[in-house]
Amino acid sequence: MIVEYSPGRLVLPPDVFLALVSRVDPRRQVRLEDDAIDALERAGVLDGDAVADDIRPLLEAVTASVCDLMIDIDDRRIVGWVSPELAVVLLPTRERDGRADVVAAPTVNLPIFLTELTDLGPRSDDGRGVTIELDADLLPALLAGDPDEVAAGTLLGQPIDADAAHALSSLLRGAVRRWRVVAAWGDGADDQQAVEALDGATGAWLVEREGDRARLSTVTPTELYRGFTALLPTAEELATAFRAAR
Amino acid sequence: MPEVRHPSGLFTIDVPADWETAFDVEDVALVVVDPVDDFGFQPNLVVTVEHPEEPLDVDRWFSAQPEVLAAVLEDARLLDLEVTEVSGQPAMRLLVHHFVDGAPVTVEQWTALVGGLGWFVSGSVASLSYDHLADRFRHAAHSMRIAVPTAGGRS
Repeated sequence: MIVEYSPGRLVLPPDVFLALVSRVDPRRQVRLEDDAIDALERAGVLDGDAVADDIRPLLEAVTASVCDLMIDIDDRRIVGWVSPELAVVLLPTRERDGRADVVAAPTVNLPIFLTELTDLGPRSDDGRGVTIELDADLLPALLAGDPDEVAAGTLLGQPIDADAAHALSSLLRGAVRRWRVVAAWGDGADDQQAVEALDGATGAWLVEREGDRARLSTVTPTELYRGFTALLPTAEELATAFRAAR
Repeated sequence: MPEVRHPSGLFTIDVPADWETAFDVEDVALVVVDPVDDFGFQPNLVVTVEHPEEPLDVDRWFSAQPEVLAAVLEDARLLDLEVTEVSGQPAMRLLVHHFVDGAPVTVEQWTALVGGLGWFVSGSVASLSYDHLADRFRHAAHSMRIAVPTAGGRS
């Protein structure tokens, strides 16, 4: 097991990070395996029972989490925790070696953090006000669809109107990034809010799921950005959590 | 949102109720500020008017705005831009994230060329609170009515 640690940088397997959190929160009874302890001590993260001074706030942010984040970007899964002061996320390494970069940022910076993570920015306006509904499990087939067939007015064998055909075929002709940001305030499905999008150079689409159905609507980047700020804690919620933590 | 009229009669605009309003503060025609601090930043709505040094066409005016904002705002990142309307005239809307004294702020700005003047309506808010105020900023921008100067005087 390889743990990399230097000021401002910590790379390790996600399960080891979670086990490390139990060092600042004994309620979490997740035991660090011996080989993980050895790797953490070699890297300088642990010194006996003591956690390195600059790592401790990251672990405490996890224990003080107001809401948890789950971010899927194409085939990457990023998890995170939002405390009143600090947000911590585990970014899978570029090498895809099963480890994650532990990245921390002030909680107030989450909107721009999510913006950069999803590469949100101005898009051309290749069809606004278009909506398509389909079975959610057909989304992968939609993304793999033939743009020419869609442009001709057929989506997965079904006819679609001309505006939808134009907007969707434009999207499919370029690279499409698929992402979903979930903020979970509890364990139940009702305690979660999500912003999900299909994003391409010719425009962005919001994906809204309800049961087995998915509703796709063309949206502006503003609407997606607004979605980020809607699912994150408000100033009042953070202040309340901050006071409770004190 | 209540309507306010600039003392010159040049424009009217709806502004958030209970925010503090001031006219002609330095070079700013209208400043409306939320008295309540939010994440260390007071949300605000401002109207400014520029006198271009030379007559500009709308396309040049619009295309210059992202660079202008990038030059004056700290760590500006353009999130969105689109052509829309303000006071019945073509307008450009920009959404930009930037920092004010280290605090993350989102500004939404509408700009239009009307009567040879450059008009700006800008709403700024701590970024985490953008959703809370986005509708009021949009309402304000779309409520603005500019009295276009005519050859015979102000209309």
